[in-house]
Amino acid sequence: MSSEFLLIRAKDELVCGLGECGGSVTSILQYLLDNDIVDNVLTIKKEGSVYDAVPVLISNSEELNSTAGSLHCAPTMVADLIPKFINDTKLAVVCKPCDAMGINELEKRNQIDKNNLYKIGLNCGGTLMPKQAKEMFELFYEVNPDDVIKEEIDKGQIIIELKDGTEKGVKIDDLEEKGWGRRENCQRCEIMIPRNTDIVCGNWGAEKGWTFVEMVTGKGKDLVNNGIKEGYIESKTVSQKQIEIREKLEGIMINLMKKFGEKHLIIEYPSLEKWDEYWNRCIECYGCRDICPICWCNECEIEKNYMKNSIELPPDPLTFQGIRLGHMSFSCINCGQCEDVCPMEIPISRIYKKMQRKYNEKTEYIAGFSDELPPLFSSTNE
Amino acid sequence: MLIKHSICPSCSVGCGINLINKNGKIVGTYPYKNHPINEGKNCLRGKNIYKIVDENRILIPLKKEQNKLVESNWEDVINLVSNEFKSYSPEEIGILISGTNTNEENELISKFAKGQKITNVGVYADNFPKFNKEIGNYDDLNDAKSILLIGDIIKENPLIGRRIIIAKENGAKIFSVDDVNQTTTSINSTKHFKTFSITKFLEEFPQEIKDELGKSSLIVFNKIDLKEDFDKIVKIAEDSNSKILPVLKDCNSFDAINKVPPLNKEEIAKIINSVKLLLLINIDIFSFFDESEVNIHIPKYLISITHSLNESSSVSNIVLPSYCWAEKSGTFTNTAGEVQSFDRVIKAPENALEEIQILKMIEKKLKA
Repeated sequence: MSSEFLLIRAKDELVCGLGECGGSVTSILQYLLDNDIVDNVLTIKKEGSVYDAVPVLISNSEELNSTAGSLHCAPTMVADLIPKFINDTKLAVVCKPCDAMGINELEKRNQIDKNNLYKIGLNCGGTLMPKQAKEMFELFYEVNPDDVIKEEIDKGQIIIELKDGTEKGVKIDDLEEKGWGRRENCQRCEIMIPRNTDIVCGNWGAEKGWTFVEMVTGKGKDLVNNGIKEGYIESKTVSQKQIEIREKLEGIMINLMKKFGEKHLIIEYPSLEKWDEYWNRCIECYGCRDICPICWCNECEIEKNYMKNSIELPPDPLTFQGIRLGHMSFSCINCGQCEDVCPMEIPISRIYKKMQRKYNEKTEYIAGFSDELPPLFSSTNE
Repeated sequence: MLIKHSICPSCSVGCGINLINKNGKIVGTYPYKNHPINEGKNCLRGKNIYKIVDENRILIPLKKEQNKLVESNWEDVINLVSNEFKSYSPEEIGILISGTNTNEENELISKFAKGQKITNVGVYADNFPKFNKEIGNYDDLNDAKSILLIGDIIKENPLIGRRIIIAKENGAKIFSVDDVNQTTTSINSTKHFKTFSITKFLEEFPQEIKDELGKSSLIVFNKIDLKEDFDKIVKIAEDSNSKILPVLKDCNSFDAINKVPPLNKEEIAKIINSVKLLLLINIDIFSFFDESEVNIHIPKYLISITHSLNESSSVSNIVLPSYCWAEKSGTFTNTAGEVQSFDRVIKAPENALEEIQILKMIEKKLKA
């Protein structure tokens, strides 16, 4: 099914003003909850500042307003929360690309029921770690990070809005050249528009105050059309030029990301000696496995006593990361959560993403997107 | 599903942790990336700490009858407790606590003891004494030029360990000392010193380390052999102009040792053996006693305020079920001296009471 495009925004003026670009996502979620099409909405909610957010499950559409707006400085992952804690409900989930990719991999592993799920995708230019974001705003924007009340990524810039209403933007390129900017995983992520969802919303190509929505599935088209019919959103047609602008922006981003992929995974990839040093640090907290949205097994071998070598230090990377690599690296979605939570600063996601990249070159399997499970033992290139 | 911020009570570092509440039960943890101490990273113990809420949970007040703990009610047990308190002189009564009580609880415990003129009071703090010295903070670690680690800090306090790793990446020299040959800390050190006695090591402090300690150096230690070792470390730090960072035992040891006397095993044993009535507040004395090491005799009357049935509470005459950290709001002071507040995440069981309330009930009854 080919995608269809529209410009949409909330009909409710209040909602329209709350959101990033016209409150469309909030309105669509309201429509789904009010009409009992879903029981719950899974999204993220700001906790006190732009640097903090937690996933939240909402069943009352009035509470949705508190979730409006973008939160690039609070890198979350919601995919694995669904099978673990929310598998008993009809759900709409708001997902940035890595959330959507995680969900896709879990669907293929029968951990999430596609039919119970509406996936509302968001364009994503990347996220930042809160601490780095604060230091960066101080250093490059020369502002008190506590004064930042809003932020967005637009036209190659990270733009912040301050308490007093002023806006400041700095080019992402300039920040990242100096070692700041987005999380490393986001820098090399090649998916900005998650077309593995029912609809994808974003501001690329849209005029101010409107959302450019790409309706990917039939379910997505029905959703938007019914939202319009029921008076939650209004729409107008998208011009060819707007579609082209969006495609161009996406293309530029992808090319930039590819360069980062080369940098992180080839040019600056750690040497074997450096990896030995990294493994020395491992305290076997299983943080990387526990946070990994792909690692869903209810029982995991790597924790078994026969896999542990408790007397010998350091832990053998083969009986830990080696096994994980064999189990899931082909499906690694490059979300970077493993690296985010590693207490020992091991750049663990690089090894997984590198492996997936190799696997992708051989099999053309795109983790988080393909409808079929990874072709484990065959290569389409052969 | 509701995800809420909390402070990890599993050690004294004071990491942030998000708790996942589903239907009134904590079912897991979620990274708290905006927390300045750990930025969403937690150790294995931290990630599993929520399990203590339900572990061996005591749901109703218990009293010993015919050598067995049987279910009772609050009125009955508070009466029994106050009668026992009244039948002994203050010298015959002792109160022992752990470093896991909140600042507010420590305050009240100390007041309660003073009010009852009970002097046999203390918190178990390994060999750490009360101190009044300036200590380093966590951010100092990241930029340190050299660090001396006493104990397996990287494995046992990983979110301090992380900062040591960052310092090392920044070029810091890391020295470690321990009474074992190989630890996670030792294999990540620039040089490891194996010693039979930390006291001896400090007395014969290697020139090699002395030469490297300076203004941007820290001595981080989570174990010492004797209370006197603390002063030896302070002396080394003062001589070299470097900072100390003692890593205490529990999530709120820092506050506890400032409100009640810190005790080591021998001192704890002395109190246990000298009193007739002993009140334990969130402490399992058998969790750190190797009975072959110290000969202890359980006092005539033992009262436990705790949320979980442990070896101490199971031999108590009275067990008063209290709240677990996730069920109350309060503050902890971490080992760097930072006060952090946390909010209630879930409701406590119906028949449990908050420690503060329990103590106040006893106090009131004693006045009556």
